[in-house]
Amino acid sequence: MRKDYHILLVEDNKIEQQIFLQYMNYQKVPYKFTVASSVQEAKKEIEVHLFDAVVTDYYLGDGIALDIFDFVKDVPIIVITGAGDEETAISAIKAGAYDYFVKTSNKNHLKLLPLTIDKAIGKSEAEHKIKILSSALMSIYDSVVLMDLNRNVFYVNSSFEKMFGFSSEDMIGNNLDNIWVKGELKKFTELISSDQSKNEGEFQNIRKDGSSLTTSVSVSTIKDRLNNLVAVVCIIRDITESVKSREKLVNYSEGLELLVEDRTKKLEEARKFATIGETAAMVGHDLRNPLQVIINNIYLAKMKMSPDFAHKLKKPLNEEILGSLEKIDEQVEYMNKIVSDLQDYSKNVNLDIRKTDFKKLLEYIVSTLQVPSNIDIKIKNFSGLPDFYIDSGSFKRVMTNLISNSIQAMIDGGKIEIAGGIDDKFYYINLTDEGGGIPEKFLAKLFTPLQTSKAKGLGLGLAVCKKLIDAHSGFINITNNHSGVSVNIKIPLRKELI
Amino acid sequence: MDNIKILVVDDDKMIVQSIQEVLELAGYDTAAAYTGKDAIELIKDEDYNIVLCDIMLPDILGTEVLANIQKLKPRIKVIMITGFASLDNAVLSLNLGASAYILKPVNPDNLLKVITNKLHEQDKTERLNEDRVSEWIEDRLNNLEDKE
Repeated sequence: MRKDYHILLVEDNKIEQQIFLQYMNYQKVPYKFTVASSVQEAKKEIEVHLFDAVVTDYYLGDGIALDIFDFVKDVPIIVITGAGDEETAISAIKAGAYDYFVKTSNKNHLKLLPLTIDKAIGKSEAEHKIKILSSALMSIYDSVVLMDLNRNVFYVNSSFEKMFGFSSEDMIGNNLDNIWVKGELKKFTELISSDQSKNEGEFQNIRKDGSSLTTSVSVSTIKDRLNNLVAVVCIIRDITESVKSREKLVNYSEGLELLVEDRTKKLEEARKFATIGETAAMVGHDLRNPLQVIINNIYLAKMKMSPDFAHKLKKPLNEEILGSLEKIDEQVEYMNKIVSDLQDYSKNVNLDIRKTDFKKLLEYIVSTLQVPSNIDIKIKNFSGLPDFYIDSGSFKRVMTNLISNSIQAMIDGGKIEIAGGIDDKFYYINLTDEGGGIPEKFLAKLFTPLQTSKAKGLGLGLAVCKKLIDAHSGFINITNNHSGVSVNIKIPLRKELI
Repeated sequence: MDNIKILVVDDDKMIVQSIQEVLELAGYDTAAAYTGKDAIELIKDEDYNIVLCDIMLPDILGTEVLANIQKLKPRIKVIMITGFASLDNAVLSLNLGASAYILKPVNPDNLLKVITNKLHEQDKTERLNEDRVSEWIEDRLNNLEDKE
């Protein structure tokens, strides 16, 4: 309770006023008192100040206590009457007085007065609070329903009336059973019978006019000090719109997902077709050249066998035919290499990393290649280098591709040098040839797969090399030098770096 | 078919060599170029009847060689041969004045047929031109005679 309560004493007897104030002072009653000596004075004071309680004598010079009641609102009034005037007191109570006292000559009634004032103020404040709470309940957007233990409604707020179309009179004393769509009542009963102190659920409801709405209902219980259930509070929120927008959102996002899925699929298809298209173009171009050579040589072999051309032959017939067959053979091998490259490029690299003697591997690779007699392959600086960790299958492919490229470029013969080297981190392999180098415009795209470049060996072979070396966490680069190309490869020495 | 000269332009030496052999067996004289620039140089020096030209050359495009031939020696019939089928290249080649556009691999019989046709066309055009020249000379002679 506040301490600065302001009390109005209305008393026409100056002596009584003095006794009252002295007594209150003596009792150290903490209130502030203002004294009025008549109804008119009291009225003036009430107009100017806000009092927390009024203590008034019944008989006043210019009227009686009841006259004050007319202009005192929401403030407790305590009436003091003379002895033997109980009827007056009763009429005062009926008129709305909080309490009354009978004056005693020994002023005993004053002893009880502070306590009565306290109680009166307390009650008044409680009423005030209830009023605020009640208007708060009335003004909130959510419906509030209070029910007793038997699920009989004893309060609904105005939002409930608006939300459901039932008036307060319709509801009070009745149950809540007719606001639920079929099947929902059972759910609601379960909700309020649950042991939880607060429960929530989403419901389908119907209004008085039969229209429907979606609500979120939260139920809580009020218990007294002895833990007995006193009331059930239902707060009902209309979520029809938010459910609609939620559903819209769900539909929209589902639609969006479908759209994205669809687009992704189409994009993937398009990309697949583009890749197939690129591959087809590359394979088409690269296979048509050797096919042309094969067709030409078949034609030539047939022609040379015809007696009409016998006089044109430069060599004996069988040598001529053998020459054509050898060319066909070469081209078939070349075509096979294109197909292998394509397969190598498209399949996943599975490395089988083992300690490898690279010099031995190189010598083996060179021995499997058909090296023209005018080409000299020199393997140097590998002696003394430690074995290192690679997948020998991959390197067989890499070195075969590189050496074949060089051989093809060196129509007029020359030297291919393959040198090894090492530092603390990498193993180096350097290949140089005398094939005249690679045209500048191809250098940048050398390792890009499916570049339909014309020059032989620049289709997929190098892309495969790069892929395999990348798989070893290594590096490859190719530059032109004065007489040919220089291919530099480096591979990490430590096995765990691969 | 004496003195009919055909230039084969392709960077694939095996193709050039085998086509040359086919053409020589058929009785033509041949020459070879492995790059577009070499081809243009050869054309400047020599009057070929026919140029068989690949499109994907290492230095310049075959269509550029074609455009140069049209400028330098429009009389030469140019037959484009490519392994890289593309409508764009075909249209471009024909617009630039290629006599034919052939896709690799081409059967040598068919290639020889195309060559024969083109030579025939060339012959006809030239004879037509010769006829026109003789007609023109005749007209002028007649005119002179009339004046006399």
